Amino acid sequence: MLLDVKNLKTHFPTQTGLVRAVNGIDLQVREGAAVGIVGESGSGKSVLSMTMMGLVPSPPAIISADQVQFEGKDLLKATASEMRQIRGNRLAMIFQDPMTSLNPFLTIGDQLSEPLLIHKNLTSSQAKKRVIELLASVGIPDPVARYRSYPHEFSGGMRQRAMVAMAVACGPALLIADEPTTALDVTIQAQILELMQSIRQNEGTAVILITHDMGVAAGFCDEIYVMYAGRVVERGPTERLFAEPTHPYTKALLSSVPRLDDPPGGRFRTIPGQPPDLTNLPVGCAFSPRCPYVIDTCRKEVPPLTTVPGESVAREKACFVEIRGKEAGQ
Amino acid sequence: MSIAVTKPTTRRRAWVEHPLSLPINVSMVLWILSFIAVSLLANAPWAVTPVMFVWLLANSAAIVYVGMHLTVPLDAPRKSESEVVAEGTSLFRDAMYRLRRNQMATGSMVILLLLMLACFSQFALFHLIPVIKGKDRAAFASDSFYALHLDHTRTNEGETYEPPTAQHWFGTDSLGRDLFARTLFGGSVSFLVGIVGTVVSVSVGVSWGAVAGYFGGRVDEWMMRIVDILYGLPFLFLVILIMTLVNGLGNVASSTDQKFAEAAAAEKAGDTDKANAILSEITPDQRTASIVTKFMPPIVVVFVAIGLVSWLTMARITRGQVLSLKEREFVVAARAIGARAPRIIFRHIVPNLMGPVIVYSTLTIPEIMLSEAFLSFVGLGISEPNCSWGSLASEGLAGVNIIKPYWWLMVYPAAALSLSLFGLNFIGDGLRDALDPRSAK
Repeated sequence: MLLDVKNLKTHFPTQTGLVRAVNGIDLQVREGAAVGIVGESGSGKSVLSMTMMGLVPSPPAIISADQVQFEGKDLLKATASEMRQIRGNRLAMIFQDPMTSLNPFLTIGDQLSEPLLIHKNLTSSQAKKRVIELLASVGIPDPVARYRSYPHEFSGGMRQRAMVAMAVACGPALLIADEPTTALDVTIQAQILELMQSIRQNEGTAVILITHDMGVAAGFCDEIYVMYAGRVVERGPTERLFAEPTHPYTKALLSSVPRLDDPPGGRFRTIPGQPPDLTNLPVGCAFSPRCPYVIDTCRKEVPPLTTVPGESVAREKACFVEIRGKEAGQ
Repeated sequence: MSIAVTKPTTRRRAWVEHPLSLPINVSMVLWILSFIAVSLLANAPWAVTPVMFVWLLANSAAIVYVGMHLTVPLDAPRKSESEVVAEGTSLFRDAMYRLRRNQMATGSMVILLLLMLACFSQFALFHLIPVIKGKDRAAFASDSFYALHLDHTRTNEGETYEPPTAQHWFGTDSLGRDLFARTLFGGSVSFLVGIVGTVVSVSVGVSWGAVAGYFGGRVDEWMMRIVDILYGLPFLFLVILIMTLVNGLGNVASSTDQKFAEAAAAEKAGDTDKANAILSEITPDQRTASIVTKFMPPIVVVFVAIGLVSWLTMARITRGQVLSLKEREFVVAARAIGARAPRIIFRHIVPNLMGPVIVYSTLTIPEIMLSEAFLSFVGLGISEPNCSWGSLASEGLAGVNIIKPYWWLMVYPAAALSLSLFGLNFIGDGLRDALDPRSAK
């Protein structure tokens, strides 16, 4: 197992109370796997990835876990300098907005050579050579000239390609992509996903793709984790999870995606209610106030993540109710 | 039927139509009028102030020339997108392009450069010509160009308080020293104080503020409280304190040096016992003072002392900027590739501060030059025979009286000082506009 996270919690003490952004997450990623984390805004996806990268300042954040094992090392117990050696080298990250995550005052070449200079002890001329190869490999035309360009001279898609190149510069074992395509339009989105897919196949890099776009997750990932209010509510192989969701939230999410065969003029299906206030979570299941299948137990106990019975593949859900084959309200 | 063609506005009109042309033209005229008034008041015939007049005309011409030719006319079309892409611009180059459109700033830059060139060439030639010619400063003929226009230390008993003449373009002072040479020399000192002081203040202020802002929390709290405390102390009081201490040290050093010289003289005369006796009187403290002063002459201390007390605002500005910059995503991205704090601060954050820092430092140079002028004015700072514009103006002020106004003693250094202060302020304003991307027109 490349990454094995057990019971990870990231809480932020604030004036209004403790914000439980990540509230006990288990996550396993095999070498070379593509894992998707989906969930609506505020479900803790980004905080989860930042916590794994060690980029959440603590204090103020309170971070605890049974373990965050990465390549045999516990990231939470690593010292700051050990963490720096891992970050950007073995564990890399692609950010959501390529417009703001590149430094406007440094050339693309300067920024891309940084991880190489920091981790690989290359001389600057070696780094330059490598960066030009990288730029070419992510499909940036005329990489020699583009080495000297500034970020504002790149289009959004090119910047995200440059970000991908920067993330994979040191050949990381795991790439965390935090909504890498959200800020891009659909055609560029497809190109970036294709690029990441080819990196995954050629370099054997495992990828955690964080997204709220079910389509992107379905197309890219082998395994999907569905997050709600800082917890994993369901996990399973992509095909099975999409074909037959076992958690009401997953089902509601999937049915809210507009379909081509929807009758024209119809209303979008939405999930009624609001995501819960993370400072003041419901006593039982966090989804219970919005759940059409809710039973009394749901309001009293937090459902544990358990294996879904009657499946040939490993699937888990955190729900007391068997919803397969049932319609809401039955 | 003819097609209406918009007649391109001439460059000259662009200059006249510039919103700032009125104030600068009015100030030019006022300036010239004030010189005429002073000349009449001093009962100086026009014939003896040709240099002053030419100098003025040259400056005015320079401003107008720059306004007409070096700046991009206001109605010049902005370069097309494809041209800009083909060139490839950095943010800095873009800013320089906007700065070039600012006529006041470009004009000031040219004038300032000319002034600095004149001052520093006097400084260089004064020291270099004797070396090249292989003779002592005093050995130059009293009517040579060197003696008349470059040597600011040569005294002449027969020519004290001479008004501007063909020989002494700016007149002479109470010791018969040529004021033209002294004004140029004072200029190099003033510029050096301004520049070195600003470099000290920028490097200390930016590092201090960036570190405080980036680490935040308790580090920030302590570092900024120190700044607050220093803010509370009167700025000139601190400099005066430092200068007094250094002057004391200098006095000790000079008396020690005198003893060394006496001992050397005695040794030369063959009186070894006397030499040893003098040397044994010198205490280790005196020796230290002598050595320290060799490495840190008082003039350098002025530079550093002013720089060391003027970094506070720079630190505050930097800290404020860093507080917002460190939350930007590219800083998080830099941390995500495993960069250390110093790398993030000085490679990623500080370049992003360059706008406010450059602007503030161009406004710091005149501030520091003024402080130095004030210090010299009250008698601290530069000591004779060296001079700065401030010390010259203070000497000149002493020379201005109703019965016999030696006006030139004050007017030339003061005019040069105010010209460069105006220039630096205009450049600072221009840079502030140019480096602000939102002001892009």
